[in-house]
Amino acid sequence: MSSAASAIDGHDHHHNPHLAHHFESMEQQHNSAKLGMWIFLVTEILLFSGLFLAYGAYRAFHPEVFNHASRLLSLPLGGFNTIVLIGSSLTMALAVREAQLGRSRLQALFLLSTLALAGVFLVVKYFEYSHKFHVGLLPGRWFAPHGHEAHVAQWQNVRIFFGIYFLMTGLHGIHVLMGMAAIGWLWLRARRGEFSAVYYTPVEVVGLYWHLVDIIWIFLFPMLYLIDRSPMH
Amino acid sequence: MADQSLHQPGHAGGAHAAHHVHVIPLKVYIGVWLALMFLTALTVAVSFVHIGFLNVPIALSIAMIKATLVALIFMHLYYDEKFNLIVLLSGLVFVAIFFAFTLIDPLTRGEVNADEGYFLVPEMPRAGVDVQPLAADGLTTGGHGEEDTHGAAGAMIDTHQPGAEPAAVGGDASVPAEELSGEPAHP
Repeated sequence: MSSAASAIDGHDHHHNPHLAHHFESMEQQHNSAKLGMWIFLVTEILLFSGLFLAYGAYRAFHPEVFNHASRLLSLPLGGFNTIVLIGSSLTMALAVREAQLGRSRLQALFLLSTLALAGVFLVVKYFEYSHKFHVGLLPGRWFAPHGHEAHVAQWQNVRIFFGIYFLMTGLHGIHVLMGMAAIGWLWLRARRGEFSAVYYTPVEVVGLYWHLVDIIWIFLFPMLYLIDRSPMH
Repeated sequence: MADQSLHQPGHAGGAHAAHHVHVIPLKVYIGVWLALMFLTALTVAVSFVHIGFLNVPIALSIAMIKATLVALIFMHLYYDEKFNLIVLLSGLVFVAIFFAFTLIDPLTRGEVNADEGYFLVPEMPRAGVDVQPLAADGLTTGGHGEEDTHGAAGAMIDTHQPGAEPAAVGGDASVPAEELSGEPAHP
């Protein structure tokens, strides 16, 4: 059945090539996919909540350590990455909007922008990580500050902060990477004009995932980088 | 089909739209983005002000507002079928249970056992406190031998209460040395 015919009669429920046979309509299929994505996002929240809880417990045990170790992270880089990720959330939301309006050219452009911003985020993260590796601000038995951070070596419990820092930002970074793969796939499909105002479910559900990745960073940024930036007291 | 009653061509912006789509105006997206930028600047600014115990609730509240904005507008929860919101909130209920029952322990240890309320190890530099560096293995201080409290400081017992006064370490008179070491300081 051609899509032209379905557009004319308006009853594309059983004609749209993207409609699976077990769904009544494109709308039902779309809403089911979204519900499934939300359930998946809840499992993601539960996954991260374990790490947030570890953060809370260890910060309760070592408030001074977390306070000072937080200052060892680069506020300019962390802040820049926050702006980048929020910007990518906006471009992703606009890509979904363009898909809803059935405009594939702008949609592909917004998807590409999202992909580029995600790439910028990971490049900045790479520089942050390599600096921490370089000066030995690492978790557990790898904790061996030297160079211009050598003075930190005398406060052994700082390693706890960096264990949590690398776990949380690392798991978040993996999610950014997965998101980039999904957005790249969407971009290829959008360029081929595969999405329309009737069928854009993949754009919407990947968008939901991407916004969750953004939300997690919205919490990570103040928790890790901004514990206390007031003058040392 | 019953679904046809939901058909809103005006919203979908095209004759091909066959289902209910609420296209949010561009200016709403831009407005939310501006709000997120402002709140990011605000949370950075607040971190430079020392407000004591209020710093954490303020930072988390700002993050929560930002997350809510993203969820309601960018993720369309405000316009969606409410069932998606129910799924999210029920998940958050379980996160709250998870947090509450686990944090009962770490947040109240100092109330049960007062001895755990003292910093036994100088974890971080404090103004006016001469902190002896820990040796590489974190167990000894190298024995400067000025006072017994230095030996206690090297004992690496790291259970303590948030908010306890860490300046007690290193010979400060506010805490008797025997409480730091667990044994008489001057036998």
